[in-house]
Amino acid sequence: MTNQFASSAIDVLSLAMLVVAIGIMWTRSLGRAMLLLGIQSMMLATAAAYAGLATNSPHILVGAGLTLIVKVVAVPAILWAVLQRIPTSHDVQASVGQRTGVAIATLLAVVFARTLGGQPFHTAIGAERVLPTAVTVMVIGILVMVTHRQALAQIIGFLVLENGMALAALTATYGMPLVVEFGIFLDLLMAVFVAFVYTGRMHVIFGSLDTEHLRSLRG
Amino acid sequence: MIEIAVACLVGVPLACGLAIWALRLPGAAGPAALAASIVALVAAAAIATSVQADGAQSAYGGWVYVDSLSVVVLVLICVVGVCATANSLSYIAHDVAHGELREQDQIRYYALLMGFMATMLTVPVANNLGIMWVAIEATTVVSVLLVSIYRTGPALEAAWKYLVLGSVGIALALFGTMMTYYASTSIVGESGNALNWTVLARSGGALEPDVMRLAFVFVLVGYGTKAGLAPMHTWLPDAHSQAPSPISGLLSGVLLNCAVYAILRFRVLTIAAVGSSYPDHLMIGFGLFSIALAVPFLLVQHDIKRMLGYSSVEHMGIIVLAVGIGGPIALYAAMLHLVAHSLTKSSLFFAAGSVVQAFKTRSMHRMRGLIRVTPVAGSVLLVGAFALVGFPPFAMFSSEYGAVAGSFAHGRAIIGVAGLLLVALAGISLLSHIIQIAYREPRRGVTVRRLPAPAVLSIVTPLALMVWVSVAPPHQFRTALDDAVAVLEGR
Repeated sequence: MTNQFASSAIDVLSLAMLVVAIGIMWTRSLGRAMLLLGIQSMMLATAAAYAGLATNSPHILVGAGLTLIVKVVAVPAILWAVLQRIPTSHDVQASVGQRTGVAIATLLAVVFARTLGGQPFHTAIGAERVLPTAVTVMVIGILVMVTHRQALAQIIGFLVLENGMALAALTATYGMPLVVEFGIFLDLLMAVFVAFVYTGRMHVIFGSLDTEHLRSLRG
Repeated sequence: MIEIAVACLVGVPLACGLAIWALRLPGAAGPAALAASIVALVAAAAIATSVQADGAQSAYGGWVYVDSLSVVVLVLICVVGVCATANSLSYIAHDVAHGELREQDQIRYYALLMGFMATMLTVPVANNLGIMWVAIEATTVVSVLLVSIYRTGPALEAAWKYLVLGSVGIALALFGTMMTYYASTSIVGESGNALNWTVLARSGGALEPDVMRLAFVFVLVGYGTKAGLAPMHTWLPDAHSQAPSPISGLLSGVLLNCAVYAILRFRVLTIAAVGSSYPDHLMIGFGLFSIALAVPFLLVQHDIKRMLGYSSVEHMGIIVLAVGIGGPIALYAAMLHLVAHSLTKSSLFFAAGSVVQAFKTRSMHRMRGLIRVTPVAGSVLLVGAFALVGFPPFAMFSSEYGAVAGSFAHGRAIIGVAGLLLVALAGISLLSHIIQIAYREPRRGVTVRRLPAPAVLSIVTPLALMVWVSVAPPHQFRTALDDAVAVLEGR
């Protein structure tokens, strides 16, 4: 595989990841948001695989494999278990409307594309447009976390943020050193598992996963 | 020698935690945890002695690196860790006896406590800044389970906020770390070593300035969230007030230090690449804002543990401000403040825990006559409060004086004076609360609470150590801080 081909493939995949992120901002169904998240992680794993094949570096391929196992299989499985546990509502409550949310996300994408376009980064793969895209995906992840009240939606937002960052790391430096990557995935898995435990408790104590209930500690 | 010490330092608490988890003996968990933390303290002392005698050392093929800055953080974690574990014995037994925790929760508690210690202790000994990040993120995942050990709504709320904000913050720090890695690989090439402190510190000046500028902002905001700097501090008062008090002492006394430690490492690299004024200005901004924000919350606070939590926001602000002021005097002041805050605040949280158990409330409106009802804890709260607001002869007087003096010496007098005024306001607020609850006539029917000897020792020891280094610091202590300042100055 040529470097040229890999870098344009990664370019396309990163744009697709951005579109999916906006889709997560748009959707009002938790199930669909989770599906979109899984698709986005799959794209990330594919991009990593391209980078690994193009540069013949096994450690990037290991990273791609880890992404596949952790972000495409394990994490969605945990989230799915949460969704099965809450029989009540699978709708997302958000503090901004669908159109406003998408408008803000798109605006962010444009702003980052223009401001980060000529940055001091010479990305490792030569996919110059990827970095602004990755940063936008990260920011949309944070946006999902702040605007969505459902605990599960907040976890999804965090994982979008993670995906954006992994994309940035992949393009800027071919990912982190392998030991560090292992640690990052382990921490991520543990954090999602703890969040899983907490959603269970929230359901028992408050009867729903609406973070509106988490407002007693003030001042 | 250093290999064995580091292995004991991290390995013994970790192994102890796993053993507690596997063997499931509620009665033996506490004493075992205490023994493990004492072993860690001995190992830390050995490392400290060795580093002071022979300088910084690497081990395990460069994965482990300890220098004078690591040692300060390391020893504090172990000292406060031993006291927190000793304090837990009676605290947790009391909660189990009163039905707030189940018998089985003790196993979870002590296993997590040991895991918490092991993850914190990994932070200052890791050479690779990526591994350091992994360790700091691991502290969040472990300690959040300790925050939520009481299965109440508010505890769950505090834990959720801590988990979410902590994870986002730490993710931003990872982005900063990644950019540092990017800057480094363009010099030393792509290798696992490129994130090693030993490699980065040597090539510091050659790191690309624009990249390092961006990296430092992410690191400061990211680890700053974990350190409780305003405006990212919102998880801190919640988590500190809802956690069991020995854990509050650990969170405030030493976990915040770990995050500050990470910021300090990146600051040295950033200064080498772009000069000192850029990181200094950022740190001064966050420092002043944190102190200023804490003032109104301290003033109106009625929950004793939240008040101590906001005080931690203030003191982290002071440390970051002093580092931002820069220069040998202010940097020494920052290190002294870090040590003094750790020791004082952990004592105060342990004492507050005992007071809360005696009065069965955290509200200071309903506490009267601390000194009569809980003589030891009440006195510690009173003395500790004076120490905390910077009365002489306590160390925080010297450190705050040093920070202001440093600001004059460095042409940043206005900042020093503004900081001092805010600190004075915060101090008055905190002190007035404590004095009120200390001396009011106790309600009739409240019984005097006697504490067992280990609890008394654990509450008094950190404060006593603080008084010791304030009044008659041994020369090893001063040398240790001087050496740490040398690391901060990139020497």
